[in-house]
Amino acid sequence: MGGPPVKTVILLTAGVLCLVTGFVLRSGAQSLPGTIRTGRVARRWRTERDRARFSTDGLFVAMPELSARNTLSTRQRDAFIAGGVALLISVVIAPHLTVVFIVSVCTLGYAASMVVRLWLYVASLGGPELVRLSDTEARSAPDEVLRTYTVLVPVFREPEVMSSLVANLRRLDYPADRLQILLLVETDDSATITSARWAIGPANDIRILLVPPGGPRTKPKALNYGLTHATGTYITIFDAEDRPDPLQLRKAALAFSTQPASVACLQARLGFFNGRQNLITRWFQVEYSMWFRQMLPGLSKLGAPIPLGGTSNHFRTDVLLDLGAWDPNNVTEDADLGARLSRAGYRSEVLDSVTLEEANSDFVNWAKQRSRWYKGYLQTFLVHIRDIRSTRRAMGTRELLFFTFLVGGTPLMAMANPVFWILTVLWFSVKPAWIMTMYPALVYYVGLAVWLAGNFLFTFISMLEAVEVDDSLFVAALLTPLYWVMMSVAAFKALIQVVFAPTYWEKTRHGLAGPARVAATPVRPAS
Amino acid sequence: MTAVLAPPVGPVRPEPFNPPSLPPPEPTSAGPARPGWRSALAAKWPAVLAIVAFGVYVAAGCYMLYSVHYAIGDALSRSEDARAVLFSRDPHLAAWGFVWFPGPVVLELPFMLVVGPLNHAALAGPLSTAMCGAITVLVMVKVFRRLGLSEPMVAGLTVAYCLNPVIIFYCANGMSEASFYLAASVFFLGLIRWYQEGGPVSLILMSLALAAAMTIREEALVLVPLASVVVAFHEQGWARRAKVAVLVALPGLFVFALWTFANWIIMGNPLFWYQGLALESKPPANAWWLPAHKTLISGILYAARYTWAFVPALFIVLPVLLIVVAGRRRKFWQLAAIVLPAAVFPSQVAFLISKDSTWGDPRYFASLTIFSIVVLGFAAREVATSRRFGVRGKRALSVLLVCLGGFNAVNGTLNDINPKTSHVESESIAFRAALGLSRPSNSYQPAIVSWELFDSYLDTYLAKGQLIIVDTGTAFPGPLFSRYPRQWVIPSDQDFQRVADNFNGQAQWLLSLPSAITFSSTIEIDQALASTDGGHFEKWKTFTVGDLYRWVPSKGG
Repeated sequence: MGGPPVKTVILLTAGVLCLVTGFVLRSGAQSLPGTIRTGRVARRWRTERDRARFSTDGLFVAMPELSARNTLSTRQRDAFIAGGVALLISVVIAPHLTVVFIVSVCTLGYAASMVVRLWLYVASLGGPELVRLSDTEARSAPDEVLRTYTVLVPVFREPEVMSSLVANLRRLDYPADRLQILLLVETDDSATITSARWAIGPANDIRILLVPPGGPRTKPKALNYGLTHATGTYITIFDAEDRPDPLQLRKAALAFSTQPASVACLQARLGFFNGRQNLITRWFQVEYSMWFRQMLPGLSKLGAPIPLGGTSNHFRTDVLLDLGAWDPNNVTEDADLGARLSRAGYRSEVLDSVTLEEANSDFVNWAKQRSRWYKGYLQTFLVHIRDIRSTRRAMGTRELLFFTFLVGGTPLMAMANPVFWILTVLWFSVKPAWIMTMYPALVYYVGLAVWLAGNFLFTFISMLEAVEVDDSLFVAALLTPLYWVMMSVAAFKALIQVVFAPTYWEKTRHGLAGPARVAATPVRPAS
Repeated sequence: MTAVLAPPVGPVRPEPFNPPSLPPPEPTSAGPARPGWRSALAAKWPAVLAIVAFGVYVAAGCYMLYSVHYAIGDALSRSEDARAVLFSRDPHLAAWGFVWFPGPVVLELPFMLVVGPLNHAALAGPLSTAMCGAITVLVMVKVFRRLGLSEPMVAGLTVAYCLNPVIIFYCANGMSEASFYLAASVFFLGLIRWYQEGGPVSLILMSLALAAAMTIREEALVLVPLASVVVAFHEQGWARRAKVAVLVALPGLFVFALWTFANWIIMGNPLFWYQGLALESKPPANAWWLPAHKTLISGILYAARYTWAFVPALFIVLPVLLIVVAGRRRKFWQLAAIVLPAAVFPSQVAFLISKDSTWGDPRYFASLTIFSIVVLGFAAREVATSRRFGVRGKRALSVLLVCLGGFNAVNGTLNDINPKTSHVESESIAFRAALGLSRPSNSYQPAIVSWELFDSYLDTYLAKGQLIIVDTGTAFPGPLFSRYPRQWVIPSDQDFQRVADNFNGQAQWLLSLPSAITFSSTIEIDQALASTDGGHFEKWKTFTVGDLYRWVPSKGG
């Protein structure tokens, strides 16, 4: 490296580049108001145009600061650029210190994430906080608590599952005169429309709603459109392949009538009907089981925001509208809604009722779905940390901590993992001295403890879950670290997409389980 | 016939202990009456007992160290390892050494942080074992409550355990027994929960307790798989049993794999710890306390004798319990899960005696005390739930069981008073001093007073910045009593070998101890003594602890 004059030139060049880039990008960036305001979304849609506009712009009009229409706010963009330039400068001036700093930050992040997840797990061991209602109670619920219910079912290019979907929806046990089922289909999806009409037949219990084109072609946009036609006091979403507990609506309605008004959302537990199909589905089953039996109840117990599942969330319709409904630009609109619920002071609880889904059994299909989830988590995280002080005031410090590590931390850790795996392999195989210099003593011991204890404990917890839920998942749980490799692949894909195609919805293909493989994995009740 | 571990009739947790002679307080006109101290004590007695136990253990530890000047060599060695991790010239975690399993050393670290700078490094061991003992009290209360015993029985059995002089001794001396007792008690708690209600908490308790045991004692290598298998027999179906056994054993096996890996990476030999033990385990030629003809039979008789010495209640109660529960196979496995792991210690000693490769420490049998007290708890439960006895009969049997716990204590104390039956670790020094009896004449334990004298002499030179090189394989108590521990060059220091190889006055002093065992670091000491590079070591003074050498530079060098 040259002497001071060379360094000065480099710094000046970098600074000029920074300024130019900032100005160029700033001109296209969305200016946001400095303060966050809560808005009431218009509830009267007189024309189809109003409905269509609501479905694409509802949240953005009411609360632009909480919309993922622009992944980054102006301030965030400036901060990223400034951070990038600062990193570049420090790499030039003090490369070793910079690397040590990055490694230290990552190590502390891993340690904090491990502590947070273990905290959640231990909290859930004390008895999960579930809203439990017996089947007898649900069946004997008096009519006055069974308020009108709207079920939204967004479908896209899924003609092959229409028959089973209609059959599953018709198994829902709820007074017909209080139940509205809307099948949300894109206008140009003629195959699905035809198949749906055939499956529904002449009965008028299920209505096909054609979602108008325009705006991002996403599930939340379709849900928003469906919401404009919803008449129910309560509202829920099911996916095309779902097999909900027939008594789920009754249980949710009864629960809403007995829970305080601050409980605005009930998330039913999700499981898989093809959990034993292959290794991928077994991994998925273990992961879901832990998420819905341990993590979510743990979050609920601690009053922290729940990243909702994409299906079987039950809402009080008026609260949903108050919060701006779903963000059509966010591909994990459920996680984002969970955060907004928490910001507004509402609580989400876990309902002890199970909806069975189809687990992805194919790696490519799985990667598409997982990358979308990670992309959505990144979007949600970036939106809610735009004004971190406001978020902290709204959610609470501890709740923000959980949100950060579970929503933001999950994809970030999945991206960081391969880097550290490679370093570990290099260290044990070749032992390059430069790796040693990256780890000052304290960072080394923390990192070592996290590496050994963290990896082992989370594999062990997966195995515990397998023994509790389904013995056939035991070997898959033991091989959980291989599953983490898959997650890293999906995370890098998500990173690319969040930059270049943030609202692109990567469609998950269903129907891969096949009839012969559909043997419901027993879902034991949460302990 | 009632189940051994089935949930008792009624609530698992009995009503809080409330003496019938204490009427509820009268409400005053000023408002609701404050709870009296008796009620508060009744509710919080386990915490009070734990604090009292901690105080007793710490007091006993200080008494042994500072008044009787007694400490077991292995305990001092662990304290020195802990000191080296934190306060040596080259502080690092691997300075914990690779002879002992690292658990007890790690437990001492927080205490060493405090007492080390205060020049009381040797106290870190007793403090850590006292803490383990106090926590064990709380766990044992939970265990007995889970068995559905009445509060007086819970209190009686817990006191019979924690104030057993043998237990006091091991919770005060910095050895590894106290931390093992804690791990065992957590295992029992998990085991009983598992049989009563299953669930992940039970599995976690059992598996982590076995993992903790693996960090403490090498016997856990047999204990962990055995306990896992016996626990798993509770399940239905071989596949399920295999999975549960793997789950329970996995943390312990992981710990062992890590330990072996660390030995390999750092010491170049995955079995370095085993070879270190092998060096130590050969008994001395004049080990008169061992059977003359060392066979398996003589080993078993030896083990039986010392088992009786420490836990006679086990011999009395266990056969009765086995007759009671053997009729139903499932319950037999539950009792076996408690008793079979206890057989590991005497079985191992019996086997090693037959191979003439153990000192035959009687203290290994002291570990049976914790198993014995749990067996007494089982017996108390059988009495409490039996329909054969009336109220008076049950009360009498319950008192008898607590007395048997006391009998354990008396028998163990009698054994440890006698120098002939406590020769290896010379426990009789401490026990006899506590009882005002004469001190036995022979002891191989490190003479603390001699080390204190040596250190105070050497400190006058170390204060000037001079260094001393020692082999802590033999001279481990040395740095513990010095005010300048960083002036000691020890084998875990990165530059130990360099200092030993190439003197030229890098270290001004050297301590050489005669030892029947040659450690790898002893070779460096011999090389240093033979070195003539820039000078040589000259014998300066002979102390009780060893020979002190001083570096004399070459003329003109």
